[in-house]
Parts: sequence; C-alpha cells; structure tokens
Amino acid sequence: MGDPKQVNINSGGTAANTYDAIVVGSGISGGWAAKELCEKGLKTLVLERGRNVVHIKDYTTSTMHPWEFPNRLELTEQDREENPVQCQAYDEGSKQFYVKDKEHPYIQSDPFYWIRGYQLGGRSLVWGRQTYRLSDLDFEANAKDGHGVDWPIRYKDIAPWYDYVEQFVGISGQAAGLAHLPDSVFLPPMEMNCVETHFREESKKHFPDRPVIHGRVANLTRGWNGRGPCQFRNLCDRGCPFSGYFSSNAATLPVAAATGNLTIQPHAIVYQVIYDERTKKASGVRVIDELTKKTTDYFAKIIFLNASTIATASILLQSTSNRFPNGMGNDSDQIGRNLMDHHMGSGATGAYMGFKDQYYSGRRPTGIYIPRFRNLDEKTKRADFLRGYGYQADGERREWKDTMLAGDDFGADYKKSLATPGPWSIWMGAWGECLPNPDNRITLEQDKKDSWGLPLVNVHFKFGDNEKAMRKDAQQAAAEMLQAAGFENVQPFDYHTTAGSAVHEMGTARMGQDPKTSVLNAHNQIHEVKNVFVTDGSCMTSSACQNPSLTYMALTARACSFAVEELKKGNL
Amino acid sequence: MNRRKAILSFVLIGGGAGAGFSGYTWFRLQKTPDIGYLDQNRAFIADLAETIIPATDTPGAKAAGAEVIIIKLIKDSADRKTKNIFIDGLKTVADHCQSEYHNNFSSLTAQQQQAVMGWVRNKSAKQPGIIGKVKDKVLGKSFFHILKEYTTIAFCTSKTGASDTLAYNFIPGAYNACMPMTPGQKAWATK
Repeated sequence: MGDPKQVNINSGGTAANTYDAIVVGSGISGGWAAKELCEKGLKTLVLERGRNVVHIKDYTTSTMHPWEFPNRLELTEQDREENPVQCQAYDEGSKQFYVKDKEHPYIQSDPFYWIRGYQLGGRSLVWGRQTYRLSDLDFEANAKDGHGVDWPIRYKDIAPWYDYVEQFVGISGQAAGLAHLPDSVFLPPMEMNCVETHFREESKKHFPDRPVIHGRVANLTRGWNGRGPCQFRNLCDRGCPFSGYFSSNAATLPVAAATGNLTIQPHAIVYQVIYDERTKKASGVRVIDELTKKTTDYFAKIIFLNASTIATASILLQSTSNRFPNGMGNDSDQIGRNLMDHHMGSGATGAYMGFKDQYYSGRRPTGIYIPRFRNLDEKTKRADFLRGYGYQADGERREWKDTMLAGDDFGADYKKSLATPGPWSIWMGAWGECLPNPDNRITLEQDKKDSWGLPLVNVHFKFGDNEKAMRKDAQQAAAEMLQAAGFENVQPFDYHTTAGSAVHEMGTARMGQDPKTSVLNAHNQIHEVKNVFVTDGSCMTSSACQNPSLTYMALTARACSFAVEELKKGNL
Repeated sequence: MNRRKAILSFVLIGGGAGAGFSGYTWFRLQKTPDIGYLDQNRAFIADLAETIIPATDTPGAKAAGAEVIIIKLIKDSADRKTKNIFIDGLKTVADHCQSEYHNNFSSLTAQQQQAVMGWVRNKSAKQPGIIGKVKDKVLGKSFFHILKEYTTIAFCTSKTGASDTLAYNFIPGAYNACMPMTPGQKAWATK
C-alpha cells in the first residue's frame, strides 16, 4: 500500500481534514469497509494505529528457509518474558505482525489472551483463514434459549452478502448441503488425504449425523481476481508473496486504492468519536499520532469502526460527551459487555496403523471439518449443555517433531526413524460456542494509562458451566468417532486453553432490536448515533461456533451498501 | 489461533512451569547457569550430538553444525531450569568419562561414546504415563531428552538435515493428498 511519507499529517484546518467517510482500522472488516465505500465513490480515510505494511515487499520472512532463522523458529526466553501473551500465537517467522506486550499493556482481571496486530492489514495477515457461514440455527439461538438478546437479522438478510464477499475473497471448499452450515460460493476444495477419507467413510457408517467435510478456507486453489493460486507452503502467517490467501493487504485495500478515493493514514491512534450535540451525529474522530503524540481531528459524514472488538468498545467508552457521559451510544450500558471467545483445545487424537504405503506431498493450509452435530433439533438435544461446537481436524503421518518425543532411542536407528514417515494419526479439536454473559466485559482503568495517555483496558472474562460441559462432551464424542473408525491409542485431551486463545473475541457492542438492551441496530448503526457504523466482531449478538471473520466481512459489505443509500437519501 | 499452532502448542520444550518442591532441588534448578561452560565445550557438545544423530549415508549432526544451534537454544530459548539440567548433565557425562575411561568424551571410540550415551539414556529413562509427565513438568526434562530434542531440532532444521536426510520442498506448488510411498521415501522436513 501507499508510502506513509506521502500521506499528509494535516494541521491546516477542518476542510483539509474532511472526508466523506472514515474507517477506523484496516484489518479484515476495515479493509472491506474501505473497498466498498471507495468503490461507491466516497472519499475515504482509513486510520490505522500501526505501521504501514506493503503487500509482499514487507513480508520479510516469507521466503526464508528454516535454517535462516537464528532460533530455528523456537521461542526464546525473551519472547516469553517480554511478550507472554503474543508469543502464544506467533513464531520467529510471524512475530513482526504481532504487537509487543510491553508497549501495549492491558489488565487481565481474569486470564485472557488479547492477541493483536497493529499494522496495516491488522490480523488479516495472520488469521486462520477458516471461513464458515452462520445459519438461522445461530441467528435464532438467543431468542430460543433466552441467553443474550435476539439478533435483529436472520439468515435471509445476510445470505446475499455472504455470496457477495465470497465471490471476491475466494474460498476453497465443497458443498455439503447442510441447513445449519450453509454452503459458500466455492473454489475447488483442498483434498482429503487417505486417512481422512477413511475417517469420513467410517464416520458415515457409525455416525451418519456427523458428516466429515473439507475444511473451508480463504486460500485460493486457483487464480482468483488477480491473486494466487496457493503454492501449498503453509507459511501463510508470514504474509504470502503469491497472494495465495485473503488479507486486506492482498485483496481489499489494493481495490480500494485503485479507485483513487482512498487515503491511508498509518500511526493514527483513534481514541474518540466526536459527538456534535447540535446535529446529534458524530462529526469525526480524534487521533493521536503514534510517533509524535500530536492530536488531530478528522471529519466525515459517516464513520465505520473496525478497530477490533476490544479496541472498538474502548474507543466508544472513551467517547464521552454531555449527551453520552458513559460513552457514545451507551444508553443501554452494553458497550464492553458480552465479550465472547470460542473455547478451544478439547478433543481427541488417535493413531491409525493402516495406509503404511501411502503419503502426501505439499503442505495443505487447512484440514477437515466436522460441523456442529449437537442441539440441532429435538433428536440431537443435550441435557448437559446448550448449543454446540464444530471440530477442526487434521490427518497426517508422524514426522520429526513428534518422532523425537516418541522414544528413548538414539544413533543410526533413531536417525532412520526421523527420516521415515511414521504412523498416521488424526488430531481433532473443538471450537465451541460461548454464551453471551454481561459480566464478561471490558472496562477502562482511568488511573492507569498507556504511553499515549489513554486508559488501559481491563478484561473480565470467565467461561461458564455451559462451555465446560461442552468441552467434556467434545472429548468423548471425538474419542468415540476415532475408536469407531478403527484408530488406536485414542487419547481425549483438554489443554485448558486460556480464554482469548481462539482470537475470536467478539460481542462488546452487540446488534439488537431494542435500544434499551443493545448498541447497534440491524444495519450496524449505533441506535442513538446513526452515522456511526460498527462492523467488526463487537457487533456480534451471539458467537455461534463457526470461525467468525466471514460474517464480519458480509455484515460490513451489507452495512456499507445501506450507509451509502442512506447518505443519498439525505438521512445521514 | 492458527490451527497448526494449536496442534503444536503442547509439544514445545523449555516452557517454564513453577511448582513447589524441596529447597535443594529448587536451588539446583534455579541457580545462575554456568553459561560459559557451553562455549568452552563446543567440541564436546558436537560429539554428543553426533552420537544422537551420526553420519550414515547422509551427513550427521556435526556436519549440520548442530552444536552451534544447541548452544544458542540453551542460551536463548531454554528456561533457567532446562539450562541448569543441560549444563549439569554435560559435567556429569564428563566426570563419568574420566572415571570410567580416564579420558574425555571426544577422545573415546565411537563404540565407547555409544556406551556412554546408553548410560546417560538409562539414567534418565522416561517414567511411563502420568508420573513421567508430572515429573517432567516439575523437575524439568532429563539431560538426555533435552540433548536429544535440541539435537533433533538443530539437525532437522539445518540445510543438510532437511534436504539430505529428510525431504524438503520449499515451494510445493500443489497438494497431492494421496500418493504411494516410493522405495526409500523420506519424511517431509516441514509441515
């Protein structure tokens, strides 16, 4: 993207700092907002709090061999001391795309990993790329069991927008015809290997209600919109020099820039949305320059907040005024509340002794998926928990990283065992729904400030009994599937993963029908401030169990279309 | 979280785990490690690594420069407990060679070196099951297992280890989900 030196840091008055639209954040949803608004002809300013990352040129580790890394991709003591949270997600090849915990402190009233990437493209550079649609099973869940508030939309409202974004993103997968996990617009799938195919066929016999499907992933199995295809290196989180997967840097921002309507301002920390008491609208945003710490106001007719769930809630809570003493749009007291993250790290592994004469080549950046099969209907209803989980799974032969832990041998025989593909195994782990709970929330610590004088975020979060019961079931159900498919040494596991580890945090400015109990309406507008749109994870009314980025993208495109229509009608 | 990272996050070595145990053990594991001993014994470490992964029809740990990486990882990557176990382990092996063979490890014959390594291995054999796991977590991995794992990492991520002993394909270009093993099929160096 653009050279930051060519972007003016303007102090020349209101007119020079005025745009049609401002987008706060350049990650997966901010990139979409930029693309849609620019394509619709709006002069759009994207404010990114971190550095510029130029597509391909700044992927400095992407073509490095393992032996070129000083620590051979192992974490160091310095990583664990200085970046105790971020190092849970990064390795030596990707750490440049994560913040430094020391520079960006927050308070964990409860243990919660807040994984962040402050740079152009945000976490879209390092995301897991799994892409699944939500369905009415998810949009109706809150209304049916009474947790949280009802979503103001249903599947029919978002379905065309899933189609729309998928046609641009490029998602490999295969149609499965499941009502509760609707099919996307697909590129060819990444094939299952022989142990996965075996597992699928055996599961069909023993658990016909638990289909095993191809992982759906935003990696390109053929050239798509001038990007890709994927080269099967599985080094995605270093940035892809082949544009083989979807990121803001590779996909949305270049399209936005090509319109001539895009201005990107890196190092721009937005800390407030400015409220105009006279017009009862937001007039702009207040920014601190990351490097000079100088403050500047920028103005626009509409503002999209895409700073990521926790940061967006933090900005709104800081946006106090006479009208909104507790934060912009916070009449409901719901901003910062209902923080959710998928619980992950429970499941089972098993070894398979067959297929000794079969192997694979290439490194597939996805695996297989077992969609949710609990609480779909009366027949699958559970007494011990509500809602459900899906399994991400992966079949492979044992290679050196596991072989070295397998025995006490050494010498020539050990070397030979390293060089020989070991037994097949399948690892399957659940990603499970988290119920909305108003006590799981972020608050601001006004007496503890960061380097820019902004209050620190404090995270309060505990998984509840529902999630715990689900984790038990996820271990048992995975183990019984592997056993039925003839796997040996089947071992259920629970890694007791820290909350936040899924990096699917969401829910802190939820959509809803009633302004008394929600922050955003059905079009992602703040109920009381109609020209502010929130379309990152904070808008989520429930978490479902699917990887959420695709839904953020679809909601963003939908809200942009609505916003431009409303602008044309003079309603904003 | 990246799915691959989720799978790997439970096999990493050297991650600290605090726990209460006796004062002497605590001191032994938490004292300031004698880091200087590593660089003074580079050749010794290289020969130990070569005993774990020897040259055969392909180059071994020494040719891969494994000792450089082992020393770097012990210095920079291992936690204090692991550093101490490793350095104390080196000294124990050196003492053993002197008392048994009146010589240093590097001067022993290959056969003698293997016998010493067998002695080291038997001394630190993993206790099976949950007891072994708890012991690893509280007391740290044994010298043998630290040496074996760091030697393996150093070797398998080296150019020769990845390309000559294992199979390395930097840019596969395609994914072949199922292919018959060819005679002498090597395991992939990277996932």
